[in-house]
Amino acid sequence: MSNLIETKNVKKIYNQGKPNELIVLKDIDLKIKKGEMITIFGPSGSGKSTILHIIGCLDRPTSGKVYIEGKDVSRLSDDELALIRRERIGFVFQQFNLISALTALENVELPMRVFGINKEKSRKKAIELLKSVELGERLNHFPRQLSGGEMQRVAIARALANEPDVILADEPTGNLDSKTGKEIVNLMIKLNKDGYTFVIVTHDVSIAKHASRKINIKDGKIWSG
Amino acid sequence: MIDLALKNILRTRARTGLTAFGVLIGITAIVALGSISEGINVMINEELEFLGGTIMVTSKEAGGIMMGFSGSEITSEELDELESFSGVKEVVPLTFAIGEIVPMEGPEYVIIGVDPAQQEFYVGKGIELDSGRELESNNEYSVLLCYEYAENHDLEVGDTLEFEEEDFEVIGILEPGVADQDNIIVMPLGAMMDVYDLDSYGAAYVVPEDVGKIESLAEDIEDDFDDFAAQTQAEIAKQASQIVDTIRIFTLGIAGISAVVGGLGVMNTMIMSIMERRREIGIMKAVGATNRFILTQILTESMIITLIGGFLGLILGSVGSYSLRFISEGLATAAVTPQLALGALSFAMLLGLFGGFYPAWKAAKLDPMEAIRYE
Repeated sequence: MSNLIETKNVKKIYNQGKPNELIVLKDIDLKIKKGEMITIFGPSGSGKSTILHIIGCLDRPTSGKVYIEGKDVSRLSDDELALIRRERIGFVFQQFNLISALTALENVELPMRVFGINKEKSRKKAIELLKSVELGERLNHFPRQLSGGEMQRVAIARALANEPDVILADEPTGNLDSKTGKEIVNLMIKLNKDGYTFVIVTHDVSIAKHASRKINIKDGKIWSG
Repeated sequence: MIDLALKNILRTRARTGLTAFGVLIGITAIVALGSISEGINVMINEELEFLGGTIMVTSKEAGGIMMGFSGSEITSEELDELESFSGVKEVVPLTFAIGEIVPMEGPEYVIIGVDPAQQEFYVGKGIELDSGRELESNNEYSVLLCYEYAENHDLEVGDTLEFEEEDFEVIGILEPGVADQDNIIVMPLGAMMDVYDLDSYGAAYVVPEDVGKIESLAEDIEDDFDDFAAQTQAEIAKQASQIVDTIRIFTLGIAGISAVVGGLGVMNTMIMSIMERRREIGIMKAVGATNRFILTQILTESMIITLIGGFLGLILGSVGSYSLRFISEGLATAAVTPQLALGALSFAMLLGLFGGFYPAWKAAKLDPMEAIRYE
């Protein structure tokens, strides 16, 4: 099976050539196959979030290549990257990152609206998705009216909106108590069984238990995985 | 996109309202002041139509449009010469005298002497009367009063009025609100020269034989009579349009400045708004919004704000211009033309575009990762 995502010699250096130069990633080679559930472990500052941003097309490597289904995306323009994100990538963040002025339903609709899908169709799909994460009763609630676990489930529904190839989660349980965190982990396991590919940056051992592969990263290098 | 924009600007209602209000003030100023200068333009055009195809001859020192009030005037010999000038069909002499002076306000009215046989040349389409009859005999001691004067002094047709210790009979009251007929008293030329002891004329209208050659006739008159100024309608129109242009530049300048200040308010608001929403903009980008999407989004928001201000400003400005006409009892004509209305709205939209562009561009260029991390 071909790789869904592949990185070759990816380096990320901030403030290159300046006195405050910071090397975050050194020669990262990574292969992610469809249907995997990968966890990335590492101390803070190890560069694990940066990897996620680079394979999520939110950031470009300083050098090296990133391929998504064989296509080199490492030198694309901002707007070309945005198109890849909307079609292929779903993000889940530690801070949930819902838009506070929008209801749960509208938050899930957002990626579809950005995609140009009409209101009626995106509404229908958003309701479906929210029901699938057991938030069918919370459609018109604003984020401030939802619990942490509920917000994260809205965020997962949003990540699924455009049927992405991969869902990238950055500490998805980091802001949740252990019980709620477990629910979110179970939801991700279920989605993975449904065929969704996951790459999860986490400290949470309970996620790692279910991972198909674990990657350890330290000082910008992969140590195992 | 518009529903999202509306949602965003309604989140900070007070700020949106105040920003729109800033735009409103500018657009109101443009509409109100613009309509006044349009009104002056319309008024001057009406006046020009009245003058018709005649040449106005004045003594040079009396000069220009403010005719005949200086010492130097047209003598009867010069009038005869004008009459026999080649290409001249008729000469209509006029005399002027200033009526009572009201302190602080200037002359209350102007007395004009015109030969009854020629009175239609003075006012072009003939004198329009509210009541009574037109002047008939050149030596009759009779007057036509402007409506306002008759009202103020409680005079009616048949009453008498004293000029230079002579009794004049009021034979007609002029229709109010007609150009050239307000603030004047008209009496027969002969009677006026008699009573005021005049032997020269303040100005004369020259009617050409061929209206098509009016320009060259005016030039010939100026060439032949060194101390005459001969102005055709075209020249008067030019002078008038210069005056209108000056007024227009001045009023629109003031209005424009206030509108630009409103536009800066929009920029300020939008910058603040995107600073507060940095994180959200990052999220939008993460879920796939392109730079262009964000740019359009922010521009839509700023244009909605300025269009609201512009639309309300148009209404308020129109009300202002209408009340001005009402308060001045029709004396100040102000016209909100469709072009002015459209211009004001387009200007509001441009303010939104220019005021919103810098913040929108800044928002579009935000690095999604940094924006998401922003607390």
